[in-house]
Amino acid sequence: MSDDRPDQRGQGSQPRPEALLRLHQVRKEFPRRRVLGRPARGDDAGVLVAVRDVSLDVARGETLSVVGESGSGKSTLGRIILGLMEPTSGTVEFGGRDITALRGASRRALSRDIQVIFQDPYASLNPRQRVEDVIREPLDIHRVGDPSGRLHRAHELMDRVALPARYRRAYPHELSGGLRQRVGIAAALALDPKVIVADEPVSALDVSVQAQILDLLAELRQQMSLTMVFISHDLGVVHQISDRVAVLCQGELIEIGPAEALYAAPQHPYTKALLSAIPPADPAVRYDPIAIGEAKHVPEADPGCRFRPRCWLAEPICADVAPALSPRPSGVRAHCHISERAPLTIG
Amino acid sequence: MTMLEVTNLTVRYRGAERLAVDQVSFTLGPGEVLGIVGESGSGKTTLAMALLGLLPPGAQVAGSVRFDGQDLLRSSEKQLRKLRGSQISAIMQNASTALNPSFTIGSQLIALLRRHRRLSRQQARAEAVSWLGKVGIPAPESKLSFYPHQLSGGMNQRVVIAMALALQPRMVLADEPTSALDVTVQAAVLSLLRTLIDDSASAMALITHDLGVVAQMCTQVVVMNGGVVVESGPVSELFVAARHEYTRRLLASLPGRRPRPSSLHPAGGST
Repeated sequence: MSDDRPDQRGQGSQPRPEALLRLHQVRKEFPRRRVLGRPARGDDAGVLVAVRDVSLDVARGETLSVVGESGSGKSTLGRIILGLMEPTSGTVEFGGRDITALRGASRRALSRDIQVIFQDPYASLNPRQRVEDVIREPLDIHRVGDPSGRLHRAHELMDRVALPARYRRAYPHELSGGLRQRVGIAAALALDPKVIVADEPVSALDVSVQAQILDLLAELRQQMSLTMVFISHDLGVVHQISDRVAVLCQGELIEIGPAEALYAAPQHPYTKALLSAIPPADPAVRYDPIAIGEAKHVPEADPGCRFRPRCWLAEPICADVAPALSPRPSGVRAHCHISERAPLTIG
Repeated sequence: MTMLEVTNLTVRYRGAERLAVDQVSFTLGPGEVLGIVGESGSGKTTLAMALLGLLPPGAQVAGSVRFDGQDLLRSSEKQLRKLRGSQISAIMQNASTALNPSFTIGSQLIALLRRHRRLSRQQARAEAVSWLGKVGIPAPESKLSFYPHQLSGGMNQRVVIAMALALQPRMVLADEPTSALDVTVQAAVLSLLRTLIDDSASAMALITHDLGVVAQMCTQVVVMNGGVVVESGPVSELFVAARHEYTRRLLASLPGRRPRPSSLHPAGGST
């Protein structure tokens, strides 16, 4: 583990009550790919830190959105929660139980509680399975009830996600993108999970269909008291569905807090830049995105803030000391010296 | 002054029941940016292909697409090749497929410049470096020897834009030029396109599903649905008073315009 563990005095040591899912200092390192037998870079011992000691928790019934650009580590974090990938260090707890290292039968049992909705229903559905079979497959795998009961349950689930009965015997290719995503959602709900990890569930869909699927997810979480981790690259999309939002930047949790507070006045320059980059859908509102350039490599040994090379507010202290994730008056927590001294304002 | 005049363009693909594009008309002048908005299957890509003279041979076409008076639908391949690149160019959505992976970006850009203009190798090289600089690629000279896979998606998209603009075309067709990019990179690419269009008095047709991009980039807009233009006019009007039900639904789907469901319970506890 590295020494810069900014979360130490944040959530890590003050767990919120009723956390259903808790990540503690989760870190994932990948070996850097070698190019023609040579290490890609001379430093950092050939390691890429995809997720950097992230601690956060998700309360029962809450929707937490994890937002970041490509390479931010958001999908890796999702895979770790799903147990599809083991973290290099740190723990994942579900209902108070450490599930980080669960394998085999106990992990499979857990998959009833934690389910996933993928981005691309074109790729995640078996093209040779009929809709009702796709949805009942999780029930088959976990041997829930008898075959006719499972089929009945599959039909119920189709109702629940507003898939008309005429599609029961259809194949995925006969469905539009939005209907296909409904199939994916129904299959994810089949085992009555407690947690849904939705990895970019609407980004492959047309805008008006996106809205329908988001509405459906909001409705389902209400009816089924689901806890959701919603992974997205798009702060605009997650606004309406999130209770809280976590922003990842190059593997690091740089800001987390209640959606309203975070959107109203982001307290990390990166969050602020991300929000400013969304073109306002109103020609009367001036579009004035903050330019932060592309992600830059910061050596592991660097003691300072890792966002510093892209930050327009950076001061000498940012090069010397890594900030901690610390609370702000608005209720968010941010990983920034500048806003710790004086909260960032809008505009 | 009209540069592009599309009149009653109608396209039917061989074997298809439905018209892909049905009686579409609009005009585009220098300095104007036309947003073409629609969802999958709305006919916007067919329209784009028609503007480039790239409809497949099996397509049945009626109407006309006049660029400076020349009907692109009735031009020979030789005439079209002369226009493409130098007069009309395209920026495609996916830079990784628009660039040839086996050649360096320098050689692709230099070859393009030399194919259309009488330039020596050195001149073309200098021009290539200057264009890479203009699209915001840092240390452009050193990037000439890079292959596309050595650059990020955002940088490759800038290369594609440089290639589309390097011959100073009069009309640029951009098909979802930023939708494969991260939002911060999208912001940079949009500003870049805007500046380059403003500076050159070219015209641009911008295909997008993002009404935010339309609001910030375009002067006019056509909204397509099922092959038909359901709404067209100045961008300022579209956002204030959309006439067609489909446009209103699109506008209503925008994240900023949707109410947060009140039933969402507040964030539990401290954060």
